Amino acid sequence: MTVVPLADAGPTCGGKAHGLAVLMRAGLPVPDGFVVVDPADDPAEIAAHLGRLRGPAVAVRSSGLAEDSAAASFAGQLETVLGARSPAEVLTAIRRCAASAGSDRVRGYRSRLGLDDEDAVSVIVQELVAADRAGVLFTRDPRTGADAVVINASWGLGESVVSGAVAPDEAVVTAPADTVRVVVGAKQTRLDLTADGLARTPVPPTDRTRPCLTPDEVHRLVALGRRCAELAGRPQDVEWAIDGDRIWLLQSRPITTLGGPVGRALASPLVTGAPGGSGRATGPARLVRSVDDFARVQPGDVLVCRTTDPAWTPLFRLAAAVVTESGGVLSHAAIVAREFGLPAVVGADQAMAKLTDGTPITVDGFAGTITEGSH
Amino acid sequence: MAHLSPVDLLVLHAVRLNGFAGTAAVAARFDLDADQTREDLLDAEAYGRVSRSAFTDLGGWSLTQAGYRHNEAQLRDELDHTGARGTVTAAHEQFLPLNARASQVFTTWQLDAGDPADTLHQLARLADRLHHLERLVAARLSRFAGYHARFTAALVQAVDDPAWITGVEVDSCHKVWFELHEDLIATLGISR
Repeated sequence: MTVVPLADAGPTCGGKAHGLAVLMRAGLPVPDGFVVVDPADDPAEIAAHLGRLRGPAVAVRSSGLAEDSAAASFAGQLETVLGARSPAEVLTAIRRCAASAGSDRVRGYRSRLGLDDEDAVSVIVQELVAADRAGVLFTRDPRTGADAVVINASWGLGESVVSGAVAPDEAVVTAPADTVRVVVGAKQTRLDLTADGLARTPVPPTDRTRPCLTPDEVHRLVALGRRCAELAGRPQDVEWAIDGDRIWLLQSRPITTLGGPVGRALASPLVTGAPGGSGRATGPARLVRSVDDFARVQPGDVLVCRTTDPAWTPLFRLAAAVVTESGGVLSHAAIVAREFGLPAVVGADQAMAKLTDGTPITVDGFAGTITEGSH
Repeated sequence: MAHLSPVDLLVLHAVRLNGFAGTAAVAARFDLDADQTREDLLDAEAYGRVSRSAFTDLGGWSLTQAGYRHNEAQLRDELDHTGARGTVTAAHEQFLPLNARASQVFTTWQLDAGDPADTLHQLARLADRLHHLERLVAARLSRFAGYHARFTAALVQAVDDPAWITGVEVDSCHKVWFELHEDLIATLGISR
């Protein structure tokens, strides 16, 4: 038997699945699912397990053996497929997640951390929570190590927060009195499961400027996060989602970098902004301050600028991707970039100051992130 | 009586609004004489206000930073001289909410969520507002005339060929709209 109900998952099912099973067995709200231990599994058996899950779609994630261990967080390194519906889609997603463990970027990451190679990973198939709000929670402040719970929250599915696609709301809850301090983030866009699949849409201005969590929800999340830390015996990094009045826990793992920079991802973005045009491209950053710099732009460069006016349109023919400091998903720059099929990140605050001319960067026009080097 | 801008201002401003264009396109923008336009562009090049460059297979004129500064000084003097600043400021204020709506329509259309008939209907409503706005400004500065005619011409083309909604290779609705935005902020000397 190589398909295991999530609640029964043990250490051999990979760190992520085992961690979720511990939470489920402790009575915490975790979406139901199953673990495919051997990806070469019988499609009929997978379809049968799928039939027992509720909801219109599932999330498919890999669960590597060393993944989520205290030594290495694989955040963003292994494939996740959200919104698979039919048995055929789910099977494809399972194969993709299983294969992702063998990809170059994951192998590079593993060798940098001195981990052994593993040939196959287990894959978790879980009911997808149609989240209205979602995000992450740290049971200790990962930047300072202080005894405070830090919550990042935004509208829609949690991918927006995890990938750094939006500037989320941040709630810091400080012990012992549990005083709550909220900083409202811009929450530019949201990702939702629709009848036609996943869709990213702009968040209306009124929802951007107000906190997306109520004070009561903040306290309920804090209580759940502390239960996870108690069960694990160490500070945890928790992914959560809220559907209606119901809070769900999607993942809990040890915080990997206490006292260092926020450590969700080793490939943490240099700059984030609003996703302007879909797709992803890598090239040397070319900081362009004015028309006098135009001659410096070479084919394949990533155009980085404050804003664009009509004079800049010819540069879009040469550039591999576009990053602008001003504007949003509705800006002229974003509209023109889409016409050229270019990945674009707009409203990328301080991109000119934070990026270095000539350095290779990767622009993810779907996630709204700019990361160092090529991935 | 609407003010007629001098030719040297129009030549430089046409380069700015086109962004990057050959001599013929610069002349066509304000219906100027082609030979006169060529002379003026060569003069402007000598002053370091425009430069000729080639991008891939495309050659054309664009403003230098000095050209931007000179263009903005000319526009500022014109506004002061004609007393039209209040009118253009009011037009810009009317434009901003329309621009928010237009950007939304263009974006929805591009992201495949826009129904063609509904998109054209919404753009037609924006064209009406544009007509009103243009009449207001062009009554003081004649160089603002023509945006509505180009926008509606693009809209008519878009019924058969959707590239006229947001395309970059034709004088599409978005291109006309973007140009008007640039014209308003250039004239007022403000940044986007």
